[in-house]
Amino acid sequence: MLQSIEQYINELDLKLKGLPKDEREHHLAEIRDHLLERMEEGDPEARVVQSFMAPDKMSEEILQEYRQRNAQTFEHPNYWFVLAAISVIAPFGALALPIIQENYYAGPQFAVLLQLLIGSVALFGYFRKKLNEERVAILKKMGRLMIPILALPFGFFSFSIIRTEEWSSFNFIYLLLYLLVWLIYYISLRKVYQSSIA
Amino acid sequence: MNTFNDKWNTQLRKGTFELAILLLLKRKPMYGYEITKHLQEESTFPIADGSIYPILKRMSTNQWVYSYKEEHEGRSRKYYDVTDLGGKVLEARWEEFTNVYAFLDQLKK
Repeated sequence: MLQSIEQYINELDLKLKGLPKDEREHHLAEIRDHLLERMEEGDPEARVVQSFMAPDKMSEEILQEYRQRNAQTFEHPNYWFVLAAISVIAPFGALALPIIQENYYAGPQFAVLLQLLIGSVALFGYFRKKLNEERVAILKKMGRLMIPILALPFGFFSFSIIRTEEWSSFNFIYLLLYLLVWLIYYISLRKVYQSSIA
Repeated sequence: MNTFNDKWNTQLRKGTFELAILLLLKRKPMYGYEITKHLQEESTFPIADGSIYPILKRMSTNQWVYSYKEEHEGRSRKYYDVTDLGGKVLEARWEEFTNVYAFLDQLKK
């Protein structure tokens, strides 16, 4: 049986993991204030918590409202999130092309970099506080996809050496830069994932 | 007290809570706990403490109410107020409600 406001809030927090983080925090803050106001009127903390709607029922009603709301949207609720995640990961495939081309063509690469920039702003900016259980699971899968993508730049590098029978300094430097950028993004994705499950 | 049909009573309550909240907020902006207290004191229908929050969220999504925060004794309180759309919904629902009541009252005679 719940005895304190913090116990109630912690239990409700666990049950509301299906909500985006910012929405979940708003609900918890409002409910915490409600419970504290009741306590300030003289009711003992345990009675305040036990006479309040149980965390199971409260979370069920809040999540039902959230699901009904999402059912009315035109796109799937996670559509833009998935698009943002793809826009961060997919460019790493195209960014490996200069290695096999042995040259950097700014025109086509500009579009790729633009996609990466927009995806980064969306994923690490807008969606950072809007992660729910489903989006965290998508983030984990996307992060894991980044590892096999590394086969591309290394494969292109090897192929280039086999084809030209010589070591290209452009390819080598580009490969190092690619790896540096890849590492920054991989660590960033991992940090976002770890902060969301904390 | 309802010993006849809990479902009817539950449905009737659910249907009128939003109307009751809109009527309260039409008087003045209120925060969640304040709305609950008024409903519990003035209403003939018991409302479970806390049940107001999913309702307020739904009404916010429907843009019938909007919220804003105000500092009160070191805490940030979330106040709700009726939007123009919420005002129109209130008028329409109140008219519907009085029509239904008048009809039933007529049948009773």
